[in-house]
Amino acid sequence: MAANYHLVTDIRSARKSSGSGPRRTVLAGHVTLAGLLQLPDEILLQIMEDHLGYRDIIACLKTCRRLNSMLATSLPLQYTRELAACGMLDGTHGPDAPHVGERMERLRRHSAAWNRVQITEDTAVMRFLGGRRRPTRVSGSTLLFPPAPDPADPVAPAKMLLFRSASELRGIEEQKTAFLPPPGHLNFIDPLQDLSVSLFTASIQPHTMYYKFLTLSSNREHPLAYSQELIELKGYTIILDLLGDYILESHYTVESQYPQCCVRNWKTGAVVFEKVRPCLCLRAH
Amino acid sequence: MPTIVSVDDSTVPGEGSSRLLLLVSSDNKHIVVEEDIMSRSRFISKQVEGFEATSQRHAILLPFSSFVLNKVIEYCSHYRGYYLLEDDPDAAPPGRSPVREWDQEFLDVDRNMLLRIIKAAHYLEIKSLVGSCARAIADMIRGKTTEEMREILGVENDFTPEEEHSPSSKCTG
Repeated sequence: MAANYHLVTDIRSARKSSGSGPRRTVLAGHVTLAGLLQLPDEILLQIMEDHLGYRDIIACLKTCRRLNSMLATSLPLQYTRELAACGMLDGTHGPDAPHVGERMERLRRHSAAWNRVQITEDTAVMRFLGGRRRPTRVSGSTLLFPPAPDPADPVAPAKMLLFRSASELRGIEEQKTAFLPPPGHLNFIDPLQDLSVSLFTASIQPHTMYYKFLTLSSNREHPLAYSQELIELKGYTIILDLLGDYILESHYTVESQYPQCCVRNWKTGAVVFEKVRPCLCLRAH
Repeated sequence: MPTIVSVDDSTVPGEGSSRLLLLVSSDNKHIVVEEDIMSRSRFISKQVEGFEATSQRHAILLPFSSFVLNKVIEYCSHYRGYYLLEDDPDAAPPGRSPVREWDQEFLDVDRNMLLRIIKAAHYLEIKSLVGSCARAIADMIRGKTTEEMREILGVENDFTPEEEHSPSSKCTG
């Protein structure tokens, strides 16, 4: 057996035997790391979980399906993103951690933001986006604009525009999405739940209304909605508010003088409170 | 594939009281290294424990080239006798590895080599080296846009336009 023996006893001989590996060269274009995806999932996750911030994680999630499905299941990565969305920081120990002064500053800014209601100076964004359109719905930092034809392509069906403003505090980026309006009259959107709620009237019975729960992203039936069948509602109904699983509806019927409000769980279809006092909004408590 | 050979300690000159190990790389290079240098590797430590249990020592076959193996040995030699928290099997895992200047210079190699080192370190279960490599790789992909990231990783965008632009689907986070 032709065995090559190298006796490695100290650092100097190890260096000699390893030879001079090619040094990192600066390429004109992008550095490629094509072999990275061939690494075991465990290592890939460690690279992302230990060293990357939420912006990098989001960029990685959007690259391809494989990386998306792998990273989406990681609890530490979900935590990083959720934390960033709340404007918070983690990892207050170790050399990379921000100084306590900076953390205190962030905390102050975050709580101050809740203490003071302020009209944004940035009205240009809305004018630019909507043109003459005014947003029909506002949900958090998301605005919904009614359908308008695309000036570049007037033949195409008019699309609605969903706009989420960027927030440094919450660590989210600006986003615009155009989509075809759902059938019926779009009443409510909830971007967090990917939900659009529309009500429409069947032509035969003008006083019966039906719900349609769709996803905002694909405009298809929402998988969590209690039923895709037509649901009969008493009288003329408008939706007053939407909070989490609950919808506050108000019914106007010929029989009663005042509108009747009820709270319904849109995931189960159950009416949680009936004949509640006329009110305008739902709150978490 | 080399056959398993037994190493007789007396035939190889040793230094001090440390015993010697024979490592065989995938390109069939035989490398003799002192046991306590490689004790940082959990994989090697477990093998050595096995030797002691059976009182029979044999070559350890490794699935990577001598080029990579020498690099790993260089790392282990540098930290010979040092305590690194990540490599302590009894300590609680410390999360990310701290910045070590020597490691940064040591890992200033070409990208393929870096990927081969991290793979080898993972195989040998040298957590501190995996951690330092992970840091070096993360530095290369940090602050990139999705499009740049695709170029770096050499992947194609395989999302449908619908999925890509949806405001709240999983792919936007």
